[in-house]
Amino acid sequence: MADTLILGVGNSLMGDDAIGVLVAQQLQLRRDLPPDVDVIDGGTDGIGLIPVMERYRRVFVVDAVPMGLAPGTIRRFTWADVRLVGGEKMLSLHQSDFTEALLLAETLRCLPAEVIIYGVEPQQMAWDAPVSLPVEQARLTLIDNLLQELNNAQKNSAY
Amino acid sequence: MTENIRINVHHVTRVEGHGNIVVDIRDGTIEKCELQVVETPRFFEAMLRGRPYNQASHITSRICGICAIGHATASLRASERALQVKLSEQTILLRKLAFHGEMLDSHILHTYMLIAPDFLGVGSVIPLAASHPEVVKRALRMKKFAGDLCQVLVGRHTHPIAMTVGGFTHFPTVDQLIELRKQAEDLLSDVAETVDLFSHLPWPTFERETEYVALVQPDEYGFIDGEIASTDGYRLPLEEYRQVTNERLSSHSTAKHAAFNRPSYMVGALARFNLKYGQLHPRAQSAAAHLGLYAPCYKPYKNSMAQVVEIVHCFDDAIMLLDELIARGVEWEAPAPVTLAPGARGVGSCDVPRGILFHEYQIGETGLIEEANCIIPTGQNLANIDLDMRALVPTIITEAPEQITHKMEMLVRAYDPCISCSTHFLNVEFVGK
Repeated sequence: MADTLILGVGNSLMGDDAIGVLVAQQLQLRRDLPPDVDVIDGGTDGIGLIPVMERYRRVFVVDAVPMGLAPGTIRRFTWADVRLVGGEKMLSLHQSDFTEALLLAETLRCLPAEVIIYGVEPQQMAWDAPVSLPVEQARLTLIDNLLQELNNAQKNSAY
Repeated sequence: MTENIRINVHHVTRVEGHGNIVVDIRDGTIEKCELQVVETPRFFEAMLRGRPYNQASHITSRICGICAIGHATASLRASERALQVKLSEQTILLRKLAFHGEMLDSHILHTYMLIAPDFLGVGSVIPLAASHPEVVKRALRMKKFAGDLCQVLVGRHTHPIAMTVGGFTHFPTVDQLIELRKQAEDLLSDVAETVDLFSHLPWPTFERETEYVALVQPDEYGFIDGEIASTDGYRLPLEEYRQVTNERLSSHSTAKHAAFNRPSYMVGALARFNLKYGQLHPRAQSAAAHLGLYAPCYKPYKNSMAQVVEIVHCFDDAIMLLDELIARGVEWEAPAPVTLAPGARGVGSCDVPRGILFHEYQIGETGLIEEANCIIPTGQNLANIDLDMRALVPTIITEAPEQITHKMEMLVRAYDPCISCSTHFLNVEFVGK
């Protein structure tokens, strides 16, 4: 059983919201991932991802996150660094997104011990929009950063 | 008695999509009382025209992120009936089983996540998880089984890829079915606790008799194919569905309204329960008795209670189907052949979680769809919701406006309306940075 999950989430039909899914799909093809790492394309499954996540000690979430930064900016933060906005009043289950999933998992005390989020500032999120150039460029950098963090963590634990 | 009341709930929460409740009472007279549907029309029928029939189930399954198997099934049945396809017994069993996965998923989500918070005095499922964590965990366990069932049967949780005209493109192994059977067995105590939980909630007693419409089958409480039946005593073959739905435009809704023998009718779990209570599995019948639900029931709030009864029924029926499939084994089968002919027409129908659904296609001799018509359950319920609200308002008019609003929202939610699908991004605010 792997210890770490890389979970890409988002809607691949909504422009830059696809970033998490694209990263997950690309990582699934890599052959150089550490052995105890699983990669899942979580799509828009929302709370359905809670039972998927809770089996892992550590989860890396990759998603588009509007932070008011320049489009394509990558920011790494942990669950403790943020307060999720909008999850308190769930509108519906079609609109239940990953915000609710994380909040619900935390409330139920089944959130993995470590939740690290790699957020990418989107430029455009609209039906049928393409992935914007800045976000497309951020994709490879994000994958490099993520793999580096995984490999460093592994080296450290090997000593 | 209050003379003037104005209520405007802009986007009712905990329903699927966007709808507003608008009530306007002047001098004690109801001037306006309606559920406005403000969702953009989506034109799926136009999208199907000119496309090959075997793409239709994949396109129309996108109508809904919850009833995807329902739309795919209705779509496949429309093509299959148009093209004179004879399904194998194995295909029928696998389709029924997959359908239960979706029915369970949808009913569990609706009753636990959208309805229970109202009764347990919390605003949504997040505070519910704080006050009643065991309840939410149980819902998630049951939902996971429903998702796994869909995944094994049709290739993924939502938007089935393994279902095709004439059969399946992928088959579960007997080992996978045995594993699902075990999971279902382990959840039976959760199912019993579900019934118990909902039997203790303070269900509103508002009552309004209306016409109830559902699919009926001769030998089972089923959800796919059959005849259209109404509690007013009518029975029609699927081909005559337009005589039931009589779709008409309404000035306050982008979804069409429907009426059969009365100004409105109701579809969904309560309609099915009222029409075929006697065909429920024995354990589902005992669950109904434990809940205090007896047919006929004219209390629209209890549609959610009928959904709880159907959760029990679908669990037991899924176990029965799993046993049958495990015993007979699952064989690889090519899809059954189609017969193309000029202007072939077919109606496909199934009773999805929110009620009876129709797809009708006309398919040309080259296999392209020439005409399509899809009638969704929520559209059929809208006129009935309006009439319920009109009947409910005078009975609660002396209560505080927040109370009136809350009861009306609960009424709309009881119908489990599914107005659209959408998704959102992760929205965060940094703390102290």
